[in-house]
Parts: sequence; structure tokens; C-alpha cells
Amino acid sequence: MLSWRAAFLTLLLGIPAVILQGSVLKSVFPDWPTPGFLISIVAFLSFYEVTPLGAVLAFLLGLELDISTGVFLGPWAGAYVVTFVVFSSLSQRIFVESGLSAMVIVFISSLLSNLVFVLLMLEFKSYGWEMIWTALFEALLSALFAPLVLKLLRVLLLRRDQRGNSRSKMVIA
Amino acid sequence: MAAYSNTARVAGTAFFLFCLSLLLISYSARNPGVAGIGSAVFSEVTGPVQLVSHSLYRSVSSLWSDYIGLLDAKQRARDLSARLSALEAENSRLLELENENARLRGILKVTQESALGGVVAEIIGYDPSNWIKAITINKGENEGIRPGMPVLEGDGVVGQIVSASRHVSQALLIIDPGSGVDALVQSTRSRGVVGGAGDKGCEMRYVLREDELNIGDRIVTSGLDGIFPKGLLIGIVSDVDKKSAGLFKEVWLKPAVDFNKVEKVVVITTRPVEAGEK
Repeated sequence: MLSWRAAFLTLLLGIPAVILQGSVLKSVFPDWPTPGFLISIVAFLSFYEVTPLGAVLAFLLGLELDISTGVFLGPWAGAYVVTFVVFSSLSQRIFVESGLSAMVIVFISSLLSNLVFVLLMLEFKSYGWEMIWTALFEALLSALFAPLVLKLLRVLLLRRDQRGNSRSKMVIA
Repeated sequence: MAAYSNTARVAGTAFFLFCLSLLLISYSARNPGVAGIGSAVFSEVTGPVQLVSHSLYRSVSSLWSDYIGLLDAKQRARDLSARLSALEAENSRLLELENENARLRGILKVTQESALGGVVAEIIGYDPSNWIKAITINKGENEGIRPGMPVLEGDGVVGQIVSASRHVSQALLIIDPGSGVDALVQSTRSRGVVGGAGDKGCEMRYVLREDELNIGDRIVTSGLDGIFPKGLLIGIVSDVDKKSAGLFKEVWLKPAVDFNKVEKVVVITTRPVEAGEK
């Protein structure tokens, strides 16, 4: 379970993640989708903070992304909450410490959150089918960075005794 | 039992938060300014970091491009010299056209475009998600920028300001599916609304099936939306679907602005109506 200090730090980490996704990487690679670092944080929470606080943190991280856009409030917050719930229900059965399983989890989390986002925005915007490629590419990039991001989060947010002792029991990878 | 109770509490909290997000979406859709307020505060916090990271990136990339530029400078000098001759000829032709244009404007008493006040701004960031096409610029309320103001590059339409803090602002690009600009086909004066189609560029909606429209036609702003001044280039028609059933044609545009290469933009701070009054 995260301490209040770690929970606050999680929210603070959302800010550099947004800047990295939006300002730094998109300036360097304007033609390409960028990896979602925030979704890696949400995936981390769904395994290490399966509590109401975890759901609130996922919601607030999504809200950070919504606020940084300045167009709609709520779609990313809703998408991250759904992703959190789905993966927190699986957290007892998956061993997230493995790099490969971290990649698979973040890949699916990214696709799921994008799908929920598109569904929530359906009333206001219609996205073309070509956006499937953007979603897949974004998920792939997010998955590539996932082992590194999750390791960093474990070091920053978990106490020493918690790092090698997650709730995860079953190995899938 | 305790695990079941925790699962139920997580599910309950998540359900409540999901409902809250639906309420927020609904509320921010009806009151676009609400999202802008939060965004302005967030931009004010992240703006300086974005500025530093952007200028750092610009310095490194310009250092690199200068080095690469030196390697083929000789060949480029030859090419540029040839281009200069061609451009000089074209320039003299354009000067002639400009004179003629000024004479016609005088006759028609059309409002001079220079009556529009603008602020030049640099793009310092993009939307962090890949689903909303928006940019962050390094000018804000201190320079007179307000939500709703049009953003241009050259004579091409870039988008519209959605939120402004003191030092930075965010603009929704015309290629975002949520944007809309009242538009005209320059040659035939057929009307429609240009909206974003993501990576496919833009789509012109509500163009009647019987309206004459061809690939290569220029689409300009109509000025009727009260946001964009009249006559600004939005894009060129790249595809027309005449087979589709229904009242309207499907028209696709290639935007006049290359959104992957644009670095500086102009925010029009005078509304078209005010400019007309001047």
C-alpha cells in the first residue's frame, strides 16, 4: 500500500509525464504517436495500490491529462478509472515484476484506455478507422518503455520491503 | 472476506469516479470555459518547463542542422542562386499583381487585412495524448490572447485558441475532429463547414450534391462564424466523393498549413467585426 507521501508523489510524477509526452517527444518526432507514460503509472497503481485510493489516483492522473488538453474534462479520467478497475481485478493472478508481463499489461492497458476514451468522446467527435494504427503504435511504444517506467516507479514509490513482495501471485510470463 | 470487502470498495469508488467523469464531460461540453480554466492554471505551472525543454531541443537541433548545412553548403549555394533568378522574375510579376489588387481594393472599399491586429507566437508543446490535435504557444493573456481567437500561419488557418493563461495558450487545430470553420469554395462560392479528420487532414461537410466542386479547388474562410476573418486559405480539395448517397457530398481537404512543420503562428487579437469598424 502506498503512503500518502507516495500517493502525492504519484500525482506529481504525472506532470513530467505529460510534459514528456506532449512537449518534448512531440517536438522531436512530430509525425509519430508518442508513448503514454501516464498509462504506465495507472498500470502500476492497478497492481500495487488495489484500494479506493488507487482508483482516485488513476482518476486524478486522467484529469491531469484532460486539464493539460483544455478541451474536455473527464474523458481520460473515466478511461483510466476503467483501466484501473479491469487490471486491479487481475492483479492477484499476474506477476508484474517480469519485464515481459509488464510490457503486455501496459500494451493492453493503453489499448483499453484509448478504446474507452473514444467511446466516451463518441458523442462529440468521430474518429476515423485509421486511428486504430495510432492506438496500436502508441500502445506498442508505451509497452516498450513499460519495464523501465515500472521499475522506476517501484524504486520511487514503494518502500524497500514492498519492492520484492507485490500482491501478485501467479506468473503468466 | 476482507479481500472481498476491499474489492467491493474499489469497485464502488471506481463506479462513483466513472459517473463523476461522465458528469464532467457533460458539464465541460456545455461550458467550454471550464476546461480552459484548469488548463490555464496547469499551463502556468508547466509552461516554464515546456519553454526550457523546447528551447533546449531547438538549440540542439539547430546546432545539428547548422553542422549538416555546412556539409552541403556549396551545392545549396548553386541551387539557391538558380532559384533566386526564378524568384526575382516571379517577384516582379507578383508586385504587378499587388498593385492591381490595391487598386481594386480601393475601388471596392474593401477593409484592408492589415486592420487585423496579431501576436506572433512560437509553438512550445503539443497535446500529450495522440487523440486531440492541439498546440501550446508561448504567448498568453498578457499579450491580449483570449479563448476563441483565430490562429494563423502565413495566410493559412491553423486553429482557434481554447484556453489562455498569463504566459501560454492552447489552440485546437483545424485537423482535430472537434473543430469547425465556416468555409467557402473560392471559385464557386459554395458553402460548407470544415472540420478535422485527424491524420486524413480536413473534411468539408454540408456541401450540397449539386454544387460544383473539383479536386484542386481552394477552400477559404467565409467569415460568417464571426471568428475567422474572411478569405483565409483553409486548404485545397484533395478528394470528392460524388457517389455517396444523401444530400451532401463528401469532400476531403489537404490543409494549407503543414502541421508537422509549423513553428511560429499568428494569433489574431482583433475580431473581424472590430477590424471592419476600424
